[in-house]
Amino acid sequence: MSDFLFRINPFYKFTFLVVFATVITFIHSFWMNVWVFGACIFLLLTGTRPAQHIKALKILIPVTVFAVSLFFSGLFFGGGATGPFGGISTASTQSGMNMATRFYSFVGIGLLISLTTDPYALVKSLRTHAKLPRKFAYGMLAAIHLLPHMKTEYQNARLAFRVRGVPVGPLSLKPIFAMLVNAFRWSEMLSIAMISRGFYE
Amino acid sequence: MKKSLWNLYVWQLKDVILASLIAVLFAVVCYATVHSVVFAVTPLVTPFGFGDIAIEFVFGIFFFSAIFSPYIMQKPGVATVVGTLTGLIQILMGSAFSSTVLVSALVQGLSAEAVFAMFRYRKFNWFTMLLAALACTVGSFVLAWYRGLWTDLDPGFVATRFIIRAVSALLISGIAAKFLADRLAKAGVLKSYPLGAKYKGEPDES
Repeated sequence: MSDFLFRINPFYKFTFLVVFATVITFIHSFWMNVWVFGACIFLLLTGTRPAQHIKALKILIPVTVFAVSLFFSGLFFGGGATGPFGGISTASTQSGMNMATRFYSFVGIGLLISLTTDPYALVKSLRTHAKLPRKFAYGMLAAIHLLPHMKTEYQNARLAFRVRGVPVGPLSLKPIFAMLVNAFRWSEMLSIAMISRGFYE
Repeated sequence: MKKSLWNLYVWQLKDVILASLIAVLFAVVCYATVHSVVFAVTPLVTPFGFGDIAIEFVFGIFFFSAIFSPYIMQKPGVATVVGTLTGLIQILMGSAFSSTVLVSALVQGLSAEAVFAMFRYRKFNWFTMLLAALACTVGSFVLAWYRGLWTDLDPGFVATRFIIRAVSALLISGIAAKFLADRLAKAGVLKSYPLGAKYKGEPDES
């Protein structure tokens, strides 16, 4: 039990894993998928704390459901098979297994990224190590920090419509539109506020 | 110095914040969509082998930001940057698809960018919007083809997927995106962007 995965530079870890996932996109091999997923699980078990193990398990349960559905897609439509419950063969089973394990290998790499990276540390690392322009790094953080306000604004808009007697359902577009209008207005005000408080590019 | 051209290429802070805002908003939408569809709808259709196809019906949502934002800002690079940022923010949110979403987002952004660049960022009408949506479909489909091992699937099955995805893209990221941007411009919040410039000087509607 250690947490060495947290101590690697976030930008280098992130870049390596994304490039690695891109490279294996072009390699189609069942055993490679198994090995990649196994290696990711091994790294997760040895390199993270128990809290992350539980999170990983929580993600892996729905992922397994999806992997099973991928397996069925391959079973019924892959390797020469052409429809549900017809023409299942060794080749189509193989194709289903390939698709399911492949999804697992991508998720394994994804877990390594998302469970061991602190968003704020990654943005900071992108700024210092990837030379991301200041305005992008801070603009992004500003937009992320606007999210809770947008949620409040959405609830306010819903309330305002209901006070006026306009019926609003859970997927009604009117409050969403009202929220968007205000969010767009804020984005401009925010940039003015940042510059007036001494932000330079 | 040609001032007008320079203005076209330079990113001001307000552009960056608006781009990030759109990216954050649609990253949340994409995250919610992919997780609810993949992990709630998919199990219902799994036994028939159609589990994988459920996501195609809402696939247009993933292209939305990459087509919506260049329509508003109308300058080079917006589609690529916003598309990529949408992917990056989904990773920051801890998506289960962290390892692939960035490359998918980049490819979708570049596909939309290619269409707008073909018209030199001058024509933004129904035709270019729908073409961009179609380009995103093709770009993401080719990538998914390699990534998801669809090479050894039944061609009819793959063709069905492509058609569903294309229709979804045209409806959601082509038509709905243009409609929403036009409504926002009419409400008067985009006066400092090319799309809303013609509403300058008029009182706000909202």
